Amino acid sequence: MIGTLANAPPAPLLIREFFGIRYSDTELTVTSGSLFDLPNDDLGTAEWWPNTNVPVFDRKSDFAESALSFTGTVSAYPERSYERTVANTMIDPEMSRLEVTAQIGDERAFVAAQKQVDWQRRSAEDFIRGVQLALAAGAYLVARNLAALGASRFPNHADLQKYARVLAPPKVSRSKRSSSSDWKASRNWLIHHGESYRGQWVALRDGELVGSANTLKALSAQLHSTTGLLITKVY
Amino acid sequence: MLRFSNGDDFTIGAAPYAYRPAAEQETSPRIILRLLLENFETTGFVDTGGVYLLLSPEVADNLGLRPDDGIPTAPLMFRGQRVSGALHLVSLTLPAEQGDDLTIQVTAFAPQLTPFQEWPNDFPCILGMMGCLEFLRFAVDPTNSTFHFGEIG
Repeated sequence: MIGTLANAPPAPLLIREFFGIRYSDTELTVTSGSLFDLPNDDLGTAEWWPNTNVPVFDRKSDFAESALSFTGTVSAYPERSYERTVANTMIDPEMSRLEVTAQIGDERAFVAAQKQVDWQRRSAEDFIRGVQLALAAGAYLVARNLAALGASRFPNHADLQKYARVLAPPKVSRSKRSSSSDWKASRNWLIHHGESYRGQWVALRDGELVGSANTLKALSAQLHSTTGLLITKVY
Repeated sequence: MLRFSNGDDFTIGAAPYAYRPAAEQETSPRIILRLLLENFETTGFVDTGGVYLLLSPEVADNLGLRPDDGIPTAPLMFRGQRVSGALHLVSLTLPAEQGDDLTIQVTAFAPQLTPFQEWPNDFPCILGMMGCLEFLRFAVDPTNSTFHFGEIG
């Protein structure tokens, strides 16, 4: 029997705080799949049998199923109007939590949810998805750490290696002073002549104008080489 | 160079910076530094509240950064608009006027504008903290507009 949560009676309160449903002690949730892209007041559809107790996850308590403060379990109400709306899909509760928290941009909840994921059992694709979701949630440090963990677990996975490389902590190295242009002279040029070139891109070498154009692309086309040039937009 | 009380180096180089609004329509002055991105020289301003090195679309294009070469990431909110893009690894050098240059392998966000989007004010690059300045020692001397920088350890 199929029912929509939106059609459920008001008894299961705090519906806005629910984000996942699953059968009790038997199997994973059968739902419309991604709950995260539904409005807050419509959590999608769920399939249940009459009188099934439906555990819920609570966003207020970092999605800890055991930490429900308001009800514990919610009984379904099969007597309401029902219709099948979409094909049923098995969802992955751990990854779903990441999806939901990333979608709502709740960095703190995302960090908490990812701690509950058993990453040692996850595939390379899960790691990549986890990193992408971490970036979406604004959990940049988690993204970096997940990428590094994934890369160490899957050393031959090219994409994960790339993720880890791009998100790695910056590597810093010193080198002898370059023979590039004299910044002071170029800065003085900008101070004294910039007004005439406002809004344009300019290329300067040692305080002298080498080229100017309305766009960087047009300026680059004028230059044989950009080595030693200061290229900037004049404001 | 700046040193710790025990004589060890705190910084290894220093460069002058411009202190002015980053764009015509900006009012707050920024610390604007000269940068070398790969072999391309330009300017960028320091934003310790930001993340990554935010490239302007033109600069990203000039560096030859293609979206497929980077890693996809969620759109950034930049000056009121959602900007899509990808993350890349880019070599950024702070050229020194005193001491030595410092080169950092940074995470850079290369924007991909839609046909209807414009990069507001043609903003210069932005040096964020995470993924860019985070493992750098730096200090600012406003009396002579000098940005001091050093490597850790």
